[in-house]
Amino acid sequence: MIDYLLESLAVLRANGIRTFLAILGLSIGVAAIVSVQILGYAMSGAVSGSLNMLSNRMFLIQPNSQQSNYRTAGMTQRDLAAVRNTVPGVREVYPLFFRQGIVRLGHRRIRLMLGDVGNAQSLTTPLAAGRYFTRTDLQERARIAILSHNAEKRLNPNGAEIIGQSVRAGAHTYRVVGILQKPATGIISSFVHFTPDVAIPYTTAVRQYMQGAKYYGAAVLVHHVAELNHAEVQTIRLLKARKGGKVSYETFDRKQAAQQLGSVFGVLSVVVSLIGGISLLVAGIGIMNILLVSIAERTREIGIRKAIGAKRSQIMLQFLIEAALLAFGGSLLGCIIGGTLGAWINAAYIIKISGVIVPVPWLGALELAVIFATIVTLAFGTYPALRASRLNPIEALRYE
Amino acid sequence: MNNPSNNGVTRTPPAIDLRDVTKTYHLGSLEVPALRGVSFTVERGEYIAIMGPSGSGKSTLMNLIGCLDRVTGGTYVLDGIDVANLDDNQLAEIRLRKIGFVFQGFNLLARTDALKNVCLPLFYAGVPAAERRRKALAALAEVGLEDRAHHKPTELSGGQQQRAAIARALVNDPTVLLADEPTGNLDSKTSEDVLALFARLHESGRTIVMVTHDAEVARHAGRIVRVRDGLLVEEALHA
Repeated sequence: MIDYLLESLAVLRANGIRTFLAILGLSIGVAAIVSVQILGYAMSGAVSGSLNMLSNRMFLIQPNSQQSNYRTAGMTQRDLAAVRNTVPGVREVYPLFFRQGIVRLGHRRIRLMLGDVGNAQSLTTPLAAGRYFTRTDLQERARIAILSHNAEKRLNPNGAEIIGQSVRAGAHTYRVVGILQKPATGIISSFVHFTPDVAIPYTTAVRQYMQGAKYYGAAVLVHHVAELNHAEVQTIRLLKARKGGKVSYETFDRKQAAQQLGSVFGVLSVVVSLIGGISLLVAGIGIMNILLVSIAERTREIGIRKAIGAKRSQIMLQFLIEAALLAFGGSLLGCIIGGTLGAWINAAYIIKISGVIVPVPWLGALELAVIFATIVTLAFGTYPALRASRLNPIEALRYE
Repeated sequence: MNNPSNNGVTRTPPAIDLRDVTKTYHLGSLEVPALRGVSFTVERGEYIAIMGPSGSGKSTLMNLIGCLDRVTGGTYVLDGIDVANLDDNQLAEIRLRKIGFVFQGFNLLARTDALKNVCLPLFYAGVPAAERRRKALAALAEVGLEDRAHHKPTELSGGQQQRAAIARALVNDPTVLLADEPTGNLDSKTSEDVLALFARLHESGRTIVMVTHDAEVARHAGRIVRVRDGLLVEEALHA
């Protein structure tokens, strides 16, 4: 076996440029597929990474914005209480509230987004300083706030101690208890989640801003993941019944988000994989061509070997090993090129989109390369090897 | 004497036993008879020359003896084995074990040195690497080429290349050394060397079949078989 290998290596080395071109062709095809696989992996990792911010026990519900009854569909405190009290599996309902306004700290006046936060789970960005709201804060409708990274930078450009200071929004004053870290900047992150610049407890928001008003969004938390879909259906059914049936609502949960994102990347990776597959096919044909040329050039040599007593299987093995060397060389090179390319695109672009760093699955890429090499060897090496093994020794010896 | 089974005594079979051998080539619908009924026997240890002008069927006969081709009719028993109806793989095995080819154009593998060339039949016979090397070196020593073992064919003279080829033919200890115009590409001095080597191998008990058109060369053999128009025309016994 080693003798066959050394022999094939010698032949390939003797025809260096030809060998290199064959390997290059294959490696481009493999590189395309490997890089797409890595990107697909990074994408799905990024998507699920971003979606981890959204609790899988939570769904968002809002009136369908396309309907003419949008205002009617707005949810009252009582509607939300009914959801909390009657829909099976529901643990808590958090009304969502956002309002643009001027926020003041000392002499600084900045236009910011004020919003409410139900519980720690809905504040997905980690704290840079201070603390989250506690259960007691929610019960007492505390006048406290957590500032986003952006709000803190703009309100407090000098970097002075801001925890414990008070910010004013309209008629209300809030004591700052926490500051968030700079959020992962990415399309997916902002799509999945929205954090207000100034977050106050939702109970406080209800007291101060929402007396008698309607909510156009709520987050519903269930006890168990298994109850989520049922709770979504039941919540919509309940709300429709309470509004007389002529309204519509839409819910949004983590699974839906994953599906929406996944379908986009799925199409993309199918297209690039197709391109990679075609280049793999072309490269395989190239390898076959090179083997056929090599066999034609070595017809006399094959004749000598057969005259000496080489069996068909021994000649065939020789050329299959040559094909395998080309295929594995090309595939491994392609794996390295594709892996590096994938890692670079991942680091340079996908992280910007997702805000999540996914490590490159080198082992998986290697596995893929080995599989491709084996397929190429068998698919494009068998015919030339068979042809070589079937040469008539008398004619082959006469060949000049 | 010609019948190995007389007296009920088990005897060594002849090296080569051809009976009424015919060979017909098909060129499209045309049938071209190359051999039209050839019978002859080569005993073990014999040194014979097959002669004949080109087109006589000489090469066809050599291909048949060398198991590179199959007879159309008749029987061919090589070293007691009926090889007339073997398949390609079985013929390859016979060539590997029973036949040692020596060609006019030497036919060494160009990229590999003399030692590797001589190793080749051992390699196909599945001999382990260390033993291959030992046997190949012994064969090279037998033809007086041990100091050229690591030279490539391009670094050897014609005579040296032919001696390496003879070493390769001998290395599996074949029944028959089959030489096709072995001196055809050599000058007269080198030809003499190669023929002297054949004579020495014959003395040591090797069976040699040499195909040639050169009467001077054929004279070295113990017996000459002449082929003309696909038939043996004369079997001249030689001193």
